Amino acid sequence: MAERLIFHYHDRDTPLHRLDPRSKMFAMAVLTIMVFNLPPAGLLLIMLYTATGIIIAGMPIREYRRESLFFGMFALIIFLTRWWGSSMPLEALIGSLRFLTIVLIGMLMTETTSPDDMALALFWLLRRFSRRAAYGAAARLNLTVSFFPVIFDAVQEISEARKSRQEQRLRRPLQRMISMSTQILDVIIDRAEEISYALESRGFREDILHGELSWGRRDTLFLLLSTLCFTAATAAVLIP
Amino acid sequence: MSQLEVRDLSYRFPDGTHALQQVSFTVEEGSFTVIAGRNGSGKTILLRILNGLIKPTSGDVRIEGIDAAAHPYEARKKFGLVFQQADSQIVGQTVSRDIAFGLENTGVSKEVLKVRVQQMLEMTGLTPHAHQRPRTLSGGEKRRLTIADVMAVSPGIIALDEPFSGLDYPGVLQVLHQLVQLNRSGHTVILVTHDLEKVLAHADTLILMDQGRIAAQGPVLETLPAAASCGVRMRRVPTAETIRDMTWLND
Repeated sequence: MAERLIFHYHDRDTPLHRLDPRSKMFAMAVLTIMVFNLPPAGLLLIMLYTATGIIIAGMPIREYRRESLFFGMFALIIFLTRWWGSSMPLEALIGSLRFLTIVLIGMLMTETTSPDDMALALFWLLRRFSRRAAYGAAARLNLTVSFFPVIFDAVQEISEARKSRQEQRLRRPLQRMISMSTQILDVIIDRAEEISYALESRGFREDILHGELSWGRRDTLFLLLSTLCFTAATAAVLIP
Repeated sequence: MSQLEVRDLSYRFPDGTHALQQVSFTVEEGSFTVIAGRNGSGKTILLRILNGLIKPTSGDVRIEGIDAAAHPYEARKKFGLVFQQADSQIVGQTVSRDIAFGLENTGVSKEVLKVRVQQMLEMTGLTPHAHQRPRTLSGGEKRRLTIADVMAVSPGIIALDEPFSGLDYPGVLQVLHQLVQLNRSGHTVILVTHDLEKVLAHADTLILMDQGRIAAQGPVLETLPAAASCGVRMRRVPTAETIRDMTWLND
């Protein structure tokens, strides 16, 4: 099976991996809100903070480069369309940087937090409103995140198989895209069915969460550091 | 009463194709049954029905007296199924977390869970890999992990769908050794394969399937002559004297 890196959880022993998922989820939520609301100076601080996280998490940046190409292309499209629409290149650049920062935050979260832990954190957050709905949301999040690798692997396998059969990338692109999407969808549906049978066979239940949460001193420290960064970023807005 | 009783089992796909027709057989406790047949003969669908994953169009499956269609959750505790694709069945981030998954679903206490995971790691020889990511295991190790996953909840019957597919020679030996050990410790083994030569030395019952029906069933040597007509070919057909020598295992 292909080994994609992007949006996969990797079990490493780094300070970020050891953090309680609730503190990471909180930081991610605040960072995401700030990315969309802060001016350029604040955005740069958030980017710096995220980049530090990526280095601490030991993410293999070189290997990620090729797999992140799609998001780079998307950022370029955002930049060009915004530039074309507003005639302000700086604003267009900031728009695409905001998008890339969100992608990096998402990558950092999925890289350092297992789907089981994400589900536990989401359940903890929602359980006060409705336990049943919280179980449902947590199970769905867990299954969705666990299913990412299956989708990426299917896309990679199919595209490599077509390449090995001498498919020309630029020849009849629309027809190629439709044919490839249909093939990918077929494979994903088959695998989803197989996985759902296997989960059922192993007694999967929505109301049983796996693993446990443990809040430690490092989480409090992380939240303090994050708050400091958020405050600094917000202060950057206030300073003219 | 037999440990597994299948009576007049039929299954029809939504498009009207018959996958199984009037399948009946029994499996005794502690036996080693091999189900063989050509591709598309209904073997995988049969296992899924036995595991309560698919409801049959008609017929009856009883596992230790439990109706698998009416009480699938209970039936699955008695009948563990190892899927053909190990990657579909492995859900944990580490080997030990994966073994714990099924146990957690049955609601066992933390103490029992810890002991049981350790037992399964030792039984399958995966203790050195306990904290490793399952995706980094070899094919044989992944298959042994799926066996550990299923055996963790202590089912009386373990069924395996093509457990040797895609495995190299050492991988086949690891899995075969595991299955023979399980059978010797009193577990009932049901194995679906078209690779009879690897398992016949250890099996006591053979069921041959063809086009969704049972073409022949009974003791291995008596049933074997019908194998060729069911799309299962063997390079040499064993006799009562030679069948035990066919084993791939040295012991």
